[in-house]
Amino acid sequence: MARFDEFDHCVIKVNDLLLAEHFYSVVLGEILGGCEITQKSNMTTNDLVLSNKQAAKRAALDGREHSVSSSHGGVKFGEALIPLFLNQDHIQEPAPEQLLGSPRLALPVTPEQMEKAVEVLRRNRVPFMGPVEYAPPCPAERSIYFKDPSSNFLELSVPRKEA
Amino acid sequence: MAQPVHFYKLVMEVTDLDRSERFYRDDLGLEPLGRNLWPDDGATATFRTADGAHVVLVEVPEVATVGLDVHRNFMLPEKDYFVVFERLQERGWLRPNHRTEMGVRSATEITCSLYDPDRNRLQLTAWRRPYEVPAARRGKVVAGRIDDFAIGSVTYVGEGKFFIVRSADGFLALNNVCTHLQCNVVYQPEHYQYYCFCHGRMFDRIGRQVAIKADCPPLEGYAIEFVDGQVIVDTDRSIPRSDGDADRMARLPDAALA
Repeated sequence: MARFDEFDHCVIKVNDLLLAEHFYSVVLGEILGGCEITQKSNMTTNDLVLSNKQAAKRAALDGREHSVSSSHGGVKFGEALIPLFLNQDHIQEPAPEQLLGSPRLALPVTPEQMEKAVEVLRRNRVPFMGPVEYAPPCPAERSIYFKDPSSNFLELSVPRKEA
Repeated sequence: MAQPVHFYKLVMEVTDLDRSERFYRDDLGLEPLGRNLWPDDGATATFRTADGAHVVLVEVPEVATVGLDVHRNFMLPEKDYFVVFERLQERGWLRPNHRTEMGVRSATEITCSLYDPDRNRLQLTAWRRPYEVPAARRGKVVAGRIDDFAIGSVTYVGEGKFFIVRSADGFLALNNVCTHLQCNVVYQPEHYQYYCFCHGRMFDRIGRQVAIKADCPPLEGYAIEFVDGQVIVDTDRSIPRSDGDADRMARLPDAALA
């Protein structure tokens, strides 16, 4: 079986890059003990136009669909990189009261960080569900569920120690 | 406080759990961990990567549309990458599109994109090691006449894939390969800096990194000769530089200054 070393990054689409960066770096960063803001597109209009033309040309040669570059930023927690791409359309979000759903990204936390998560989310008025306790064979001992400002589902989990 | 090092879980939507489980296990080759391990997620199939991240497929009637640019990237060792790539290609999951794409992708990066049965976009990446900044290897390239380069100018010479930087003190020839992960930088005259599209590294006019926390050496250089009023650059050997000597210019011969 091939070795998949790492799940390296997962793009998240957001409605407001600055708001997203603030949420991930300030709110999640406080819980997780730091966050690096990275991966800014820093593109001029000319750069964006040119890169889109190149992407379209490559896509045509490969016979595949052309995905348009988005303005983007990114955040990194340890080795976990989350590129934040600006939505180019208005996307239907899940209802505000729905806090657990998919697709979803989860980051691991310690029991102490889980306690802190409750306090930080409450202080920042981020609605959350949990922490929810799970019995084996669930790989997580407990999880807390919430959403970012663009309604992307997120989870923090305390991994169960392997026997 | 300890930082989480990697992701813990990626939950993806699929419409047919059996079909997708076969794809992720047999075609992609992720390590299966079991079914229905997460009580609040309903019918799921879970896989694991070597760094302990869980990939969880959750069965839903309809997959949410998230756009083509949303992708999930997995890193593999180079030999495993090709095993997986060939298997996916053989089974019709992707076109022969893995690439290094010098200028768009790092010289040392191999990557391909594909869709799972529900059009969730995945990306596989391997890095060739060791990371070295490659020389253009175009031999000795005539960049132009000394007088062609105004003081303060930066000129890209495509034939040799380098930049000529002209200052009052002399000339610099800079390799256009980024010292971060070997993509190609472009010069942004409006900012007087080089910019790398791959990972956003920026370098000032003489190639030193512009960053709050620098993590790359300066852009590498090439040796310059001045022959009969011409600037000639040897592109066969890329020369690493340090911040301390990044401003060291190739001085013009006295005759040219007279």
